[in-house]
This record gives sequence, structure tokens and C-alpha cells, in this order.
Amino acid sequence: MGGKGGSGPSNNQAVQLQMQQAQEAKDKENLRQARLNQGKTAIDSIFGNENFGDPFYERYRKAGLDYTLPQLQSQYGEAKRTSEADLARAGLLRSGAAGFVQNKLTEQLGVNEAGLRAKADTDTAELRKSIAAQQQQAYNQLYATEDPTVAANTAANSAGNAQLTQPNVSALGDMFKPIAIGLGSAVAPVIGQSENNRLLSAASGRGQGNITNTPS
Amino acid sequence: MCDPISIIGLGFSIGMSMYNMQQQADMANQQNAANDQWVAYQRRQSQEYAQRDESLRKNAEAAREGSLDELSAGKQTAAQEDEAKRLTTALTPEELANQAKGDPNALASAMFSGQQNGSQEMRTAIQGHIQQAAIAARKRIAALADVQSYGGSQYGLTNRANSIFNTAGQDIRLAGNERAGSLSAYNIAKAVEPIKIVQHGGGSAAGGLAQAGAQLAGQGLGNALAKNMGSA
Repeated sequence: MGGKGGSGPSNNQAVQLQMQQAQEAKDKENLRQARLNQGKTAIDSIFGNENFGDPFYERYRKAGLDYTLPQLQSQYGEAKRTSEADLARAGLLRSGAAGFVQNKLTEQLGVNEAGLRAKADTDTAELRKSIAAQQQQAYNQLYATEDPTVAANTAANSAGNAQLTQPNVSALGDMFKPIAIGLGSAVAPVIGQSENNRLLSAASGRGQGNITNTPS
Repeated sequence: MCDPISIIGLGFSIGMSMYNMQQQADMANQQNAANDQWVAYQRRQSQEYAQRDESLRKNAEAAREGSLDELSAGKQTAAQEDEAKRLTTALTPEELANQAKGDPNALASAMFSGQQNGSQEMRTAIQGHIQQAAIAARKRIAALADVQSYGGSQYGLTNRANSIFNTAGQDIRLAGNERAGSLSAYNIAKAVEPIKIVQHGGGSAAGGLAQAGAQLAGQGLGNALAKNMGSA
């Protein structure tokens, strides 16, 4: 160009050409920056709170809980019925042992439900990460569009991005530990009979009479 | 008096100098024309490159905007809901769906063999329970479909987004590659130098003749001056 020694075009021509090209480059860069700003604003808007806000993620969290909690409730109901039947067979339905079983079931229900809710929450966090990765990908494509030198690298890395770590959608395993009631039922009638006799003796003061407990 | 040979030499030298000046003026004109041609070439190349680059950039931009449009919340939510519906149908066993709808045959098939001969009231009650259980199972399957539709299923939200990004990414990559090639070609065009008009051998033949003439004239003038000085 103009700077190629004395044998090049006259200085005026070269300077004119360079000035023109500099102006064109400046205009082009202004347009590029405007497009970048515009593109970023559009991406921010699409992935912003108005579109991907809490209600969007809440739907996902609720869907996860709608799948798992009924299983928990079902298992709890089943465990409760089984325990009731076992306690009834053992004649312990209105005993401290029944209260113990009820406490254990309630405790397990609470702990398991908390665990499922925590899992639903972390699954929702994964969804947030996935959407954030989508946003990042959109930014990368914006910059790749405006700068051809990064396009190839960006495209090569696009696959595998924004992967959502899947929640566990298989059926829940057994969440309630079986409580052995049958063992207690073997000794409970004897204990109950002995206790009744003691109470009767104390009430009458004569030490007479007897009550026989027959296991059901 | 001046030597006639010197006068002839002087005249010859002046003539040749004028001829040489004319040659140089022609050369300058040719150089200017070559320079103009070079500047025009560079401008044309610059414009053509700018047009090509802008066209390719627009291709990439169209791909990018297209992907962004497909990733809008409205379209993503609609796609997720469609996928949830598809999964609900795909995951629900046909028998279960029929039981939930209250199909008598489907409900009867789920009863234990001994129950088939029971009273109408008993059978109605049992079938009611089976239907309720089927409805509950369908609700849970729908919830499962909802969860799956966000990610791992065939057309789930995440897979869909990745597919869209990959498609757009390929178009952007193609445009980027072509733009890089176009830029390389333009850089070669920018390196083209203007034609240089030069005098071969350091000067023209006419210039040499003029120099010789001047030498001759100079010698003649010198001799004449020496004679005059000697006679004085």
C-alpha cells in the first residue's frame, strides 16, 4: 500500500485509501458492537426471570414430587396397615408397643419425605444449571457469529453442553423398615396376664381370683 | 568564437534533455495510471470482501436467531408439554388406560378368579377400587412423563435444546469457516503491489546520447575558451 517505499502510489492516494478503509472498519466495528449488545439483550430477555423464572422451575419440582410423594404415601399406608394388623394379632393395638411402632413409622415418613423433597430441590437446581448452560451456549453462538475465528471452536464444543442430570425416575424402593411385632406377640399375653392379675390383686386386696388371657 | 562542433553538441544535448524530460513525464503518467488502477483494485477488493463477509455473517446470524427463537420460553414450554403428553400416552399401558376409563372388560380382567362369581355389589365395589387404583397410577405416570419431558426423553427439553444448538452451530461454523477463507483471500489481494514503471539500465538511451552530446559540447566550449585565453 502507500507505505511500500518510494516506488508505491503517491502518498496522497495511499493515505486516501487507508483513511477510507479505516473509516469503513470503524463503521463496521460500530455495527458489530451494536449487534453484540442487541444480541446479548435478546438472550438475557429470553433466558431471564420473566421467561425462566421461579414458576417454570416450580413446575418441574412439583412434577418430581407428584411422582415420588404418592409412592411414599402409598408405602406409608401399606406399612401402617401391616403394622396395625400385626399389632392387632399380637393384641398390642392399644399398648405402648403400638405407640412405639407408630412413632417409628411417623419418623420414617418425615425423614423420607424430607429426603424426597431435598432431591426434588437439587433436581430443580440441575434444571436451572441446564437452562444457564443453554444461555451460555446462546452467548457463545452470538460471539461466534460476530467473530468467525471462534466459530469453529464453539461449534465443536456445542454437543454435550446443557445436559440435564436426570432425576431418579425409577420406582422408589422400600422406604419403611419392617418393625418386628411378631416376636413381641409371643410374650405379650403373658406379660399382659401377669399385669392384669397384679392389678386385680391390688384392687380387691384379697389376692383371690384369677384372669386367664388367651392369645387370640 | 564558438566552435561549430560545440554549438552542434550543445543543441544536441538540449534536444536530448528535452526528449528525456518528455520520457520522464510519460513515465510519471504511466505510473499515475498504474497507481490509480491499483487503488481502484484495492477498493474493489475491499468492497467485494465486505459484501462476501456480510453475506456469510448474515447466514450465521440467521442460524443463530433461528435457534434463539426456538429456545424462547413459550416454545420450550409448549415443546415440554407436548413431550409430556406424548410420554404419558407412551408410558401408560393400554390395559391400565382402559381400566382408568372404566372399561368393564379391563376391570373384570384384573379381578381375582374367585371374585368373578361374587355378587354384583361385591364385583362393583372391587372394580371401583381397581378403577381408582388405575386412575391413581395414571396420575403418577403423568407426573413421571412430566419429569422426563424436561430432559432425558427423546424430545425432552434438554435434548431438544442441544439439537437446536447443534444445528445452528453447524451453520455458524460453516459461515465462520467460509469467512475465514474469504479473509485469507482478501489478505492476499491486499498484498498485491502497484505496477512500478522504471527506466531500465538506470536511464534511457536518449539520456545517454544527451550526456555524450553535452560532453562533446563541453569539450568544444572548453577548447574555445582556452584558445581565447591563450591569445589574450
